[in-house]
Amino acid sequence: MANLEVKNKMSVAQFGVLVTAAMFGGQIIGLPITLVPQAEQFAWVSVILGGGVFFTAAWIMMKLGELYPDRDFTVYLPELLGKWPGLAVIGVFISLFLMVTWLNFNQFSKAVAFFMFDRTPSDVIVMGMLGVVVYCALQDLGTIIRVAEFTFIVSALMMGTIWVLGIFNFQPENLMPFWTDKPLGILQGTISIWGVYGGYEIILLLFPLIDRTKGNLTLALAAAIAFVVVTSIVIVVLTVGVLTVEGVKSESYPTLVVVRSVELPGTFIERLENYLLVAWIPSVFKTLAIFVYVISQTMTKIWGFADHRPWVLALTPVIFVGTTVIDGLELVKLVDKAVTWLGLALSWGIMPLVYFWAKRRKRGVASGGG
Amino acid sequence: MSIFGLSGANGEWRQVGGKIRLSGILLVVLISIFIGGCWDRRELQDRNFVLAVAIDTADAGEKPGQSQAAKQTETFVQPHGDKRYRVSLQILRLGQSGRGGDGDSQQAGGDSGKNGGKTYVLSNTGQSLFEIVRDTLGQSSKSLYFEHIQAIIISEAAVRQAGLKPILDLFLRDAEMRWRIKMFITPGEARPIIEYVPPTKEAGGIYLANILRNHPKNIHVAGARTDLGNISVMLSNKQDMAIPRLEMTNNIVKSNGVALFKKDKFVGYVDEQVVAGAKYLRAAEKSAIITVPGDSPDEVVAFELFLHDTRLEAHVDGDTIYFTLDINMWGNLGEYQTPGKVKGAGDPAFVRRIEVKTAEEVKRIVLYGKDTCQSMGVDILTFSSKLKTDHPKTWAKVKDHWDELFPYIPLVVSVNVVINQLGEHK
Repeated sequence: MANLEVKNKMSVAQFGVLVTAAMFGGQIIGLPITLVPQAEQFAWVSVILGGGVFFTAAWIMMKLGELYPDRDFTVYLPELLGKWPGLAVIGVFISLFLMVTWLNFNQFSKAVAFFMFDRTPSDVIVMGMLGVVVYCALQDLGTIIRVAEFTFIVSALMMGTIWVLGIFNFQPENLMPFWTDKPLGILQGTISIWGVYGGYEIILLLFPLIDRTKGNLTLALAAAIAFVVVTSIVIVVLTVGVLTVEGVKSESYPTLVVVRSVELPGTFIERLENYLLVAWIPSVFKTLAIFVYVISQTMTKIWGFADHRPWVLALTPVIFVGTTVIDGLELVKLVDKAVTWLGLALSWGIMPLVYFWAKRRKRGVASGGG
Repeated sequence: MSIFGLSGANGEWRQVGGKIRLSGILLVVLISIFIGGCWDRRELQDRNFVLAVAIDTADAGEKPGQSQAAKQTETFVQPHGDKRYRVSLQILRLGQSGRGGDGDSQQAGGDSGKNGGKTYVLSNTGQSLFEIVRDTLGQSSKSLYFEHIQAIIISEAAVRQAGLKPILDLFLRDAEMRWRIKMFITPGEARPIIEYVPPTKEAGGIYLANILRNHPKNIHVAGARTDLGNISVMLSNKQDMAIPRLEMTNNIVKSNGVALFKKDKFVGYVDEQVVAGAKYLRAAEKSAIITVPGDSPDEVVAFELFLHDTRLEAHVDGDTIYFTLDINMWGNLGEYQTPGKVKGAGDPAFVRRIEVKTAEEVKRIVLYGKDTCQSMGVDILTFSSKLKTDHPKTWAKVKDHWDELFPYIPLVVSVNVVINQLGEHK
């Protein structure tokens, strides 16, 4: 049995669940609408390629952490790159998580207002969610991990069960032909779904807290990415199989429409999209709680605070204002694009360079070259 | 140390801790169930449940004998657009069905409640269906609630005005609508159909929707993939489509045949035999009764289909595109009509003859359906989608002039029928 008294350490398995919980959240509902217009019936190929691409990015971050096993990136980056360049990279990290948090809050509140509470202003929904997210983020890491474990398992099980019911309307021929004249679309799709995998970057901050004496961290990371790959494949295959490629392009929430199309004759259960949304709420909650904790913890480290809680409270109005400022379809699209490029820049531009630089420095130190 | 500071070494304390934790989890679950709710809740009795919608042209679908003044009262001043559509809403009468003359029926435009029905009808005219629906609240004491809508009936005249898409746009956008709403096209007026009181006295919208739910047993009814959601997908793919036809004559309501649409434009109606042919071709049938003549012309034998294996394949041979359809059917001899004679059906040679005749009949019906669709230029046979999936490169070449090619695409049909049972009485 896990020692529940330990508040600032986690096992490899716990980290695996935490990183999966961070990835599997808000963006999962919007996946087909991002991906299918680009990759069409081969969206599942983009998902698999994306799994490989983003696992490699996460693996590089893990390897970087292994070079500085007892320090997180707020400590070693300024040492390695110099104070200001190091802080700039940390700034990219914070900006990325902050923008993803805004976007997730925004998309979540809009979807819930549209489908469930059409007379409730979306700002009120943001306030409610922000309240519980902040409350969770104010806790210590051990508590957040347990909350994430519980909500992740419950929401993933519920969402999976409901999604799979879409099989009743599945038409395999909608995934055909097994041929495309737009192979570039598959590759574009691969990088455009950073938002679905985004969240693995928490390893930069949490690496020193992982008890690596038991378990294989690479395997845990691979399992986390594999989980997102499998669920994403199920989502895009079912969505295209039910709605066709053109049908997905015409819908604002194709994932919910797939579930809405299910009729269970002889049962009182209907309008399953509402159940899916209900299951999605804890999923978004735990992702956002982790993100807010990670941002506040990073700020705490930079500014030399002893406790992350003042930063959670300080971030609350920033998150609320940022979320509500993103108003209108065009602005949402712009922020989404900016977040994707920022995420890609961090994962495939900055961090690999930092890793190779760090490795070179270490090698230099080891060989006495300085 | 374990949770709550109890000694981890003490097994008894551990058990107590476990029980407390379990109770805590149960408490959280219970609290979540009971505190669930929202400030803008509206009770069932405070809602007007719309069960069916009828859409006519603005000058049709009026209440019998409706005066000009009444027509003026039920509509509104429109800032934009024309008086193009009449939208009639069939609303569930909660609690007081069969007691005509109550408060609800006084507000109702068409009151099927006076006949003992469970619904009444409100009607209004305009162009934006959403604007019409919201203005109809001026005739209703409760909000209109579309979450339980079962059927949409559109008159041929309404759909001829500007196509199907403008009429369905609201139903496809609004999150309240169901994906499995049953769709009908009627050659007459749509409103009288939603005022119809079923003999069962059940709510009309549910009755109409259930007619289509019988399609697995009725080869004449096109109920597979004709719901609002399927139509939405076909509209997105710019596919041709078939929507069940619904007719009401002398208080008899029946779904017979389909209305064919080229993209979203109405082309015409086809009969039950074309529906049967298209269902055989698309493997959309679950069961069917296929009748063939017996050994003498006045005899009729009915084959009941239980199982089939249907394969439609596209072939490309140089510049020639053709399709093959292979059907294997298994079923029972369901009825043997021998007027004026008492004959058995147990002779194996007779059974074989019926199998062959049934196969020929299926082939005839399939080709009749295919020829009719081709003559009308409407590809509900899935030829285009099949060619696209099986031969994407050929499809890329021909898709721009598919409309000219489609009427001349050959189909080679092969049918094999096996009779497994002769029924309980041979």
